[in-house]
Amino acid sequence: MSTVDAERRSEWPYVKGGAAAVALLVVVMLVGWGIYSAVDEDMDQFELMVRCLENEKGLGHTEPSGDLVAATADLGALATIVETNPVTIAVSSSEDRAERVAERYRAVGGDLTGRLEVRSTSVYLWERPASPTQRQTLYDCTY
Amino acid sequence: MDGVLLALLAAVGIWNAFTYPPDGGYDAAEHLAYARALVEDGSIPGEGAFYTPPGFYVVAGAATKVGEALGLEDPERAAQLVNALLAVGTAALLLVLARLVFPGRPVLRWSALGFFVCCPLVLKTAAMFHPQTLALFVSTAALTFAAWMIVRRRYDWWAWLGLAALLGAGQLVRSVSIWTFGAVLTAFVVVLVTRPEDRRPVGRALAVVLVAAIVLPLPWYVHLQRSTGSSIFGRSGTSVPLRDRWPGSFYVSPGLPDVITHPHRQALPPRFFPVVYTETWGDYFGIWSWGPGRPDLTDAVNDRLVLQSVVGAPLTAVAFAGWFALVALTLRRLRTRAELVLLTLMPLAAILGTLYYAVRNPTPDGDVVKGLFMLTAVPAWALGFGLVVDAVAARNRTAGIVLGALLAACGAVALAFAVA
Repeated sequence: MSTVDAERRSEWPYVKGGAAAVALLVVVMLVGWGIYSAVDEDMDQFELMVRCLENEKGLGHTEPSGDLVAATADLGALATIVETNPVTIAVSSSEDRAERVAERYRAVGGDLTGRLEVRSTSVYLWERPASPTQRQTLYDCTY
Repeated sequence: MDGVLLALLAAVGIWNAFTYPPDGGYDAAEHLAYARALVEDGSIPGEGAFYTPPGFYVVAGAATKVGEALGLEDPERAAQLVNALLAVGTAALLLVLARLVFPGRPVLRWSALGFFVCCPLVLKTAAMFHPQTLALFVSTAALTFAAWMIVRRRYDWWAWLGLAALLGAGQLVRSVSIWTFGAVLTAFVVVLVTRPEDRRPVGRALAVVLVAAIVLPLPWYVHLQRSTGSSIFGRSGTSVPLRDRWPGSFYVSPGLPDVITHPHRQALPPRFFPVVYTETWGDYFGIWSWGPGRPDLTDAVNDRLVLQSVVGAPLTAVAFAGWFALVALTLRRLRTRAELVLLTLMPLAAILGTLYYAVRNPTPDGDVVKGLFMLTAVPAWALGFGLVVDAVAARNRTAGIVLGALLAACGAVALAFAVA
């Protein structure tokens, strides 16, 4: 057996170990994320968005007064102004719930093209059709 | 096979240089303005990419001048062409490195080179008017040179001088070159500790190299310190408390299912590993296959990104398995295989360094986690990848052929994506 062959054979246990480590890593990652999602994620989402809007975008916010649809979002809702365009943000715990919030808006507001947007579990209702930079401001703070 | 893969890389790289728009890459406007200011006024701009060392802009600015002299419609494409050639040069260095560290193992070498050629991160970055490809080239040259010195036990004064020059020059291109400096330094310290017979020649010269590699880029660090108050990053870090910088999920989330089903910033929130993954194999930020000035993010474009995430999975898994194997091999054979330290430290430094930068400068949109920050680690990932393929082929020829065919198919899909 040549030196090279001997070396390749001697490396096999390490390669096997490396493959096992990758498999273990994947399992740990999936289990860990499953636990983390179940315990933490939903409650964090709204708080993180509020903190981001305040700290990173310098945006103040209020409760969306008189907006009964926004009040149905189970994680929370707020009203703020992005580049002079007022917007209400309603955050739900699932995409289905967010879609139902959007349907309620459409039911009472009619055609809201350019003003209503569902992004993952968040629903944005703009007072005027939003510009790309206004939308990006909210995207940046959507967790 | 070496020549075929190099020719393929050269063909795609050159095609991309003349196809991908000069103003299309990350912060392209800032990089173009920097090169212009440096070549035309001899000045470093006070805004834009001011925090980046001038090394690349000297080369790119000069290439742009040549492009103008040749009458190119977009003279900046000459700089993109230089980047393409640097990518090919890096691939050639990877071959040399593979021969040095794993001599007489063509399957390992071809697999490593194949991984490098098919990795979209390499080709996307090389297509841009961006300094990272030059940083990759200089870093790989330093790693190869250091490996040659350790393997051959060549500790001549001119070799130390050359190594110091490469390590210093790297820091004049991009701050990530500090990782390479650290990896090389650590490898020689390992030689110093584990090989008594090499202690004298290495110890004496290493101190000189250390000083030289710091002194060479020192004027740049002094400039940054004076102008920004931060000698390495050129920007002060955030004052936001550590726990508020990113949500916990940023550090641990695998981003499922969006990392596969919607691997882009429109749907996938910024999370460290998913962004790095989709940046490496696809286009998270929309600078390649979609985004402003490019096609809209239609279902068809999303489907192509999904395919990238799928084919990237086995390639990533094998590269990780190889890296883990290299780490274990290094730890068990420190005395006889000190050169392996170079390969094991680069991916680790890339992950930790990119994570540190993201935590130091958090932005809600994840703009501070770019795949190209880890570009200098790709040759080490590639050799780990090659190690696994070679070991499987040696163990069982049929298994090796099946694995090789699967990975080659994935690589071909990934390479097609990297054609602009």
